[in-house]
Amino acid sequence: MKISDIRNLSVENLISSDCYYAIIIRSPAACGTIMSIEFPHMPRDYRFITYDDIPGNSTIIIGTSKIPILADRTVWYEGQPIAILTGPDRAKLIAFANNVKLTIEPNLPEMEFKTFSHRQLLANDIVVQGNPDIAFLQSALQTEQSLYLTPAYSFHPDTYAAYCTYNYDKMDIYITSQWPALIHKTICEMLKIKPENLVIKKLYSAPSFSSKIWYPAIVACHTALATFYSKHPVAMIYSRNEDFLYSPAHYPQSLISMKAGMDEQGSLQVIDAVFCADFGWQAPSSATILNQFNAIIKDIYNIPHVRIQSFGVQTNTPPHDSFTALGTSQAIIALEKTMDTCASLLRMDPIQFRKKNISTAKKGYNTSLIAIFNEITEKIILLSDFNRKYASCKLVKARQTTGFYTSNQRSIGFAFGCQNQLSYFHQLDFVRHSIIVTLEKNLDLTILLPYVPDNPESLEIFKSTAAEIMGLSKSAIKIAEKDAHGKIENFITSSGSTVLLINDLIKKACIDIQKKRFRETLPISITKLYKQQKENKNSNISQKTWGAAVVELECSGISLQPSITGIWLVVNAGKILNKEKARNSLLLDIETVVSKLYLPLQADQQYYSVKQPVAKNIPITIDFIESSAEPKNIGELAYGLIPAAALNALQLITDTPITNDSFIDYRESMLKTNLNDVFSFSVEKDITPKDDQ
Amino acid sequence: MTINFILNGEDISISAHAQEKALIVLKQFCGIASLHTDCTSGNCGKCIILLNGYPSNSCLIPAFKLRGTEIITLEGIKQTSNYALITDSILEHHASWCIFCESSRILLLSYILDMPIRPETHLIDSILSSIHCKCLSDTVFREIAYTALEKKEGRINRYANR
Repeated sequence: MKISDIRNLSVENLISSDCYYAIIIRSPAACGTIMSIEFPHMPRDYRFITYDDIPGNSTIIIGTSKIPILADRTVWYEGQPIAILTGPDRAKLIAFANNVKLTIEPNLPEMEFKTFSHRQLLANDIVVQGNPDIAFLQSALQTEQSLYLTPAYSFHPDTYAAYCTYNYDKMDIYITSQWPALIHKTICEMLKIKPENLVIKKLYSAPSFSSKIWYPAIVACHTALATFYSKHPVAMIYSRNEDFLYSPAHYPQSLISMKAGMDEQGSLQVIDAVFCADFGWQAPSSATILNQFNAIIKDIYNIPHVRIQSFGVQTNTPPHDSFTALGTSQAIIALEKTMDTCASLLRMDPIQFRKKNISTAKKGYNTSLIAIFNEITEKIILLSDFNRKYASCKLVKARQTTGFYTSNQRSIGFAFGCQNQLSYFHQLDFVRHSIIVTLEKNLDLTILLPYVPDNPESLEIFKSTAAEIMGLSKSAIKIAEKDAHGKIENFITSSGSTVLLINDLIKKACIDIQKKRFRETLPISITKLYKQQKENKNSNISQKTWGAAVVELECSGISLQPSITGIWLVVNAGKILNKEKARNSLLLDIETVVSKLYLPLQADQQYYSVKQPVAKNIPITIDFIESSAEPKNIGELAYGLIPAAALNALQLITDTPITNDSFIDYRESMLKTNLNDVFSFSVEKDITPKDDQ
Repeated sequence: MTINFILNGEDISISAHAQEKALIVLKQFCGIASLHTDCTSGNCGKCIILLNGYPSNSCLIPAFKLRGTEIITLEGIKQTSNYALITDSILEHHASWCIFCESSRILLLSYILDMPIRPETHLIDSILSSIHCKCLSDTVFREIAYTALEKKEGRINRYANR
């Protein structure tokens, strides 16, 4: 089968008649010691594989995280893989799995993340700037609030799956993953096979792809083990519920406490933030998430005194992969809500308050943030008519002296924020991207990439870039995938960041070829490698994507159910390579995040048991502020800005004075309950690190 | 039991268990690769087929119900003019979707295009919301449906004016 064929297939499409299946026996306990495993009597073709059957290295190592492929004697979270059952009939395998007798001596699991001991810390990051304690004493006005953000499942169209074939000493793994090099390395070490005998073949990758980073390595190891012992091709496909309950495709639950102090003129003096996230049993990206959170809090506004404490807490719950808007969404939600509260205390317009406090730092920047802020806010005010609507909401509120109202309440909220570029890759030394660009003798340009993106728009972007620099027609440019048998590279496939990164490498390679074009004989070949960034460029304003959102809400006067009636988003992302594609991408992000806002908690642990909310019929307006600056990513902006603006709008309604009346009290409590439930948001207090002693 | 039906215009006769799911029958016995398994409870919409012209979740249909029916899958739609209209509309909107929901999305759009009178907005919304996949914005999907409808109406009008 040719690679081009495989790239359009999923594991389901590969299953052949002689294919075996593999299923996982999982731990029913969140924490404990395995005392015994009794497998039922199984026919000859069926077998089970446990930790003792692993011939080589039994852990996956990513940075400081060591993740066992199968549980040894101790289980650390509910659903941890303990054994693999493999055989030709999937239905029989499920029947056998139901008859496996596991004896686990349970230990007391750590499920709490709001109060934690130092032993539970997976990562922590503390930033102190100035003297926050003294600044609080000197500040004229103070505000304090806490936010609890519920966990959410990061839906991906295809559940985790892998297919493995075995031919004498050669093994082929068919899988969707962003880090094939990790899979290759881990399986070679696990099975003690030579690297040249293992080939990782990339299957179709769905656009929503944020959770296929390190966990596919575990799935691939399980499938490879099953193939290694059964000597048959083996397919492993997670059911949606297995994926929902036990895979790391989840946004972690987190608690953010933020205290701010201002002077009487409305200048922010100090911020003290504590961010605490439940990362489950392991999270290789935990340090990055905390780092992102801290960067956002201190970089947007001009705050002389800052203290940010971020804690990644380990609990006995499934581990976490990375997710869209790593730490930035949480930071923007908390910060923007605080900004609105501060503006409300000072009786200032929220946009004016932000303008007064926007960062003026000029550490070699060529762009002023105030200029960006003004440009974005002017446009969004014009589009959404924010000033008039906000004033109207305030006026209606001021007139409600009795608090008794039956008409629908309208409200509007604003949020401003940014997205960092390629945040995850700065800290991982093994993420590699390299391209080879060759100008052939017949003046065709061949671009070899580690991974050819599935969407034609990305290919069009690459071709346009190369054609523009080389002065060639697009038809003379060929894009292909590098030889899979060569050195495997990790890559991020369908994310915008990879497209921009690869585009940048193509640009550099083409410029180099142009320099050599009339000096050297053809063909000229240039290899460009993405180097790990030594300095964090994220502190540079021009390296960030900036944006603002306005959300309009309507709260029913009868049911008090809030519903979003309008969304406006303005983005400054430099040069937009494909406006239609960028709009589609932002629309999808907005709809995803809005459906998450309305998503009720799934108590019975069945993903499809709750009809998934669909954000339809909400007028969404997206506009771009285009410039000649380098193109930037836009995939994370909506995840922070939309919830922040929605919460600010909600805050405007809940601030409505309500008089002492039993019916009103009921409605007030209803209002709070409803809003908190609907928006997965509640007010919490106290994040206190518990001492070990 | 023996089950006879028409699949994408071809007569099919297979022997399968009466209670087997139509999804399994179509995938394993008839080799229909465009259908995908996910929830197996009619929620995800990745296994939609046109059963006697109406969109149905094949994971909810027992095999015996297929007797004497006409089934159309993506493989069958690709031979129709509707498919060309739909792909044109997708290109116009610079949209793309994943292989897991591609079949269902195209079948639903084809069903809308084949309606005798232009469906109302809420009906289109209701039909399109049968798919739970986050690879494409619902707004864009709706826009594609309207573009395809307009293209089809334009084509009909052109023929009428001749």
